[in-house]
Amino acid sequence: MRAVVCLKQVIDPLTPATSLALDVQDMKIRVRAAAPPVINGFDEQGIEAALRLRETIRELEIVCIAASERFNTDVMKRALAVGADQLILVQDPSLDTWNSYPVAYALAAAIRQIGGADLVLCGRQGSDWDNGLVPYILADLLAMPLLTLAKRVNIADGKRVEIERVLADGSMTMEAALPAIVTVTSELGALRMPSVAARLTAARKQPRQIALADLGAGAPPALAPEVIDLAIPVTGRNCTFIEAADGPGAGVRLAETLLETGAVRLGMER
Amino acid sequence: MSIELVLRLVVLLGAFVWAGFRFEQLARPLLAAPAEARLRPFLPRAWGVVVNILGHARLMRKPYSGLMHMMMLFGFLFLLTAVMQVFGEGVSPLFTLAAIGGRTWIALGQDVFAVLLLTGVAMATYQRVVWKPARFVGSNQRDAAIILSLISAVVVGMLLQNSCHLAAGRDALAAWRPVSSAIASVLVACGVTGAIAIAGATAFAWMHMLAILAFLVYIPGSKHLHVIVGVPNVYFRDLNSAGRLVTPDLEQPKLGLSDIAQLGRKQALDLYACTECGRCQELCPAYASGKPLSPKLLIMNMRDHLLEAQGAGGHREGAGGPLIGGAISEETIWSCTTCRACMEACPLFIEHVPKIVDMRRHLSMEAGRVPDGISGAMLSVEQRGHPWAGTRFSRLDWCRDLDVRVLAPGETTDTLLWVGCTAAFDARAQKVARALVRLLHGAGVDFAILGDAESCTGDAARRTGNDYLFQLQASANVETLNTRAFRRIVSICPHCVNTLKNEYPDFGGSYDVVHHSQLLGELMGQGHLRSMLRGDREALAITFHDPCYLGRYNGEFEAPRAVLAGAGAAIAEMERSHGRSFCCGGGGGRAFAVEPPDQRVNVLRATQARATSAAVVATACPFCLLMLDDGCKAVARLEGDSTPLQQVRDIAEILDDAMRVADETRAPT
Repeated sequence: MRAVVCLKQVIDPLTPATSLALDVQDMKIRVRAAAPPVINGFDEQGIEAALRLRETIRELEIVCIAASERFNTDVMKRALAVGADQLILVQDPSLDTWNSYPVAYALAAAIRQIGGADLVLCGRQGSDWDNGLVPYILADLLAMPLLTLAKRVNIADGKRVEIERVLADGSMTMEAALPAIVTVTSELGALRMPSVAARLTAARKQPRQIALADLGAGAPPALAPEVIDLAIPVTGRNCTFIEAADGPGAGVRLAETLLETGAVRLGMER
Repeated sequence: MSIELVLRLVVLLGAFVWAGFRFEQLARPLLAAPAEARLRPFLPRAWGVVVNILGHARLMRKPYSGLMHMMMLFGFLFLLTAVMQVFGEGVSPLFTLAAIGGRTWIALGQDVFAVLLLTGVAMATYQRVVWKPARFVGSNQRDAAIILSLISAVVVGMLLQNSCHLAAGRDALAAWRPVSSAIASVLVACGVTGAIAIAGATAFAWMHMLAILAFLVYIPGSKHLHVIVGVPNVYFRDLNSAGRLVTPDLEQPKLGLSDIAQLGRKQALDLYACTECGRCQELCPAYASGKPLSPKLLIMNMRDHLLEAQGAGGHREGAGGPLIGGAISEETIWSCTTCRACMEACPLFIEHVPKIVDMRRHLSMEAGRVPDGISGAMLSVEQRGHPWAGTRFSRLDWCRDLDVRVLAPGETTDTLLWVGCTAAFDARAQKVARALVRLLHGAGVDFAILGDAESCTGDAARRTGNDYLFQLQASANVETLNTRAFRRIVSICPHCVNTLKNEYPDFGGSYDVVHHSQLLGELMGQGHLRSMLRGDREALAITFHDPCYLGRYNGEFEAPRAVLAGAGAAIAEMERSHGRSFCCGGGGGRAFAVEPPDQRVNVLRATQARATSAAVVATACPFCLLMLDDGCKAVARLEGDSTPLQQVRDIAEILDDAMRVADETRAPT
């Protein structure tokens, strides 16, 4: 039985704004070298879901696949260190995009090339653009049922996958016949720490690099929305002390200040 | 051959065989343990034995217990002559120590030391029964009672044996045995003379001998084993600098300590040496805060586990249950702040912290079980080169408006300022770095920083057991440092200082490293900053918190105080300061751990600081700064508004405030 976990290399979401730069020419966000990328956190939870499945299904093969313009191999090899059997990196300049279609096409082609998968695990969304579309497009391309937002993933009898799906006010249980695609969410729990022995072994392993051209992925539809503008949010703080003779007076003054600065607006003016 | 003699020989032989068997049980795990290279150098090691065993250097820190122990130790040593005598005479009536003074000064000494020993026993009994200091909580009181009884029996047996001899008129040494003579005159007055006295002498000789043999047989299972392993344990003590942990080979099959059989020989000897005196427990901040760790119980539990797992029948796999999670809980292992108060207090140089770190190594590098806050911080070191995940700053943001040079590869500077992650990424700690930069500018020091090329030294990674990450960080930093030229490194963080100075030599990086307190003290000593001090300063009441990694680990207590005094501060010391300082709670990776609300070490320390009524709590470590800042606020909240909130500040900030030069880079405090 094979589980494929789709990974995305993203800008570290905790990179401070001062370390980011806009490339207005290409409409891209660039990071200074001092802040290396990370594996998308939701995707890490996908790996954790696969590792938990393998605790009961001993013969489960875990293959991690990522598609991007270029990779920081040391970062991506964390997947091998925690226990993935194989890491496949699909590389192509065209994958440096926020458009989900080319990425999903590349991933689908890679999954087909290794002979398919019984279960495909994806993070609910990428922490860089937050589109959350790749799993949907993949489900379409691979013609598999899609179960989303799992905080628990279980394979019952080798034939069906059962998940506990997170809702705003609780959870629901869903199941589908394999092969299927499941997206996982942060409630599943963080990726485990690899042992040093596993890290050292992983350090000697090399990921399998595949050029996109060798995969025979079809051309993605030209449905790409266009990025019109990009900006880094400006944050700052400004402290004002409200001075008044007494508490009620201070309250009135506070309300006035909030209105004057535009921090709050009255309902009727909306 | 008389029946009594046969009986004596049989008892003697029986006791020796029994004791030998018990000692052999103890020796087995020791002999099986891998030996550490701790034999040489002979002179400093032997001198340490003289100072600490004969001289009672550490024991005398508690004068009552020290004096008590001194009387008992020297009494015990001198009364070995009586032991020789009773066994010698027991085997052959011709045996005598007369040739070496057995009938003159040895006789006198036996009387004098017997009294001293009994005084010691009385003091010990008073301490155990009436005084009951908290450090004995958890110690084996029954064991102590048995030992004190046996010692009394030996001494009383000897005294009465000698007194009966005198009473029987068979000993002409009355002048040399004043105490025994006094007892003898009482015995004579009670009618104990002649044959009765002779029979008494025989009976008390038996009591003397049996008590000694009982002692011999009892020792191997008792805290009193220290009379035998105390000397080797002090001799084999760690002579490396306190701040250096052993670098493990990461390719070995088992990383960290998870099986008691992995303990090195000295580490195992430590377990036998423990006297359960509790001096470690008394000073342990984790214990004081109510966490499950007591350094004393840690050692006692490991000892019991060692004997269970490896004692009778040799090593059996799995005997005695697991070490971690069985004998020692994971919570206990993670409670330690590595402050080293226990190790500095231990009269027999037991090494608690290395054992804890070794067990953390197993949890971190093999089991992958690390508490949440710590694992997140370490993952951040791995991913970003610093533990402060979520900071809104990059490594250079703190000094953008200051004139600070970033040292590129191949460039040269006099003083390399190692900023450290906390001073670079934490808004509060950044002010310390800024204050130091102003002072360095004022003193005209040629300095530069590494900027983005600086990465976490790995101190917290190493002390939370992730030596893999530590070694990656150390190698990378040494590579960075070795491509730049500088005379010395100065750091704001004692943890960085300690690691750079004491642990990087293992990775090919040997540098002259000083703490900013030392540099500022030196600059003031040379008069560089004195001329800039404002004249109109009011003496500020300040209490100083000694950071563990500056004080206990690197022996620097005076430099920060000199800087404060130079800034015009009047220092009010806390009850626990200098070598006995109480940790802020942030060492050993605990700065990143989630502290249970009712077990916060920083709140305890802030309470101690508050007791001095000083307006300012000064420190010289960014972790201490943040921990105490938090603690002081918590304590002020708990106590209502009875006294104003104490400010927590770094010595550099305090000195900077005392400077004359107005500077727009000085943020309002």
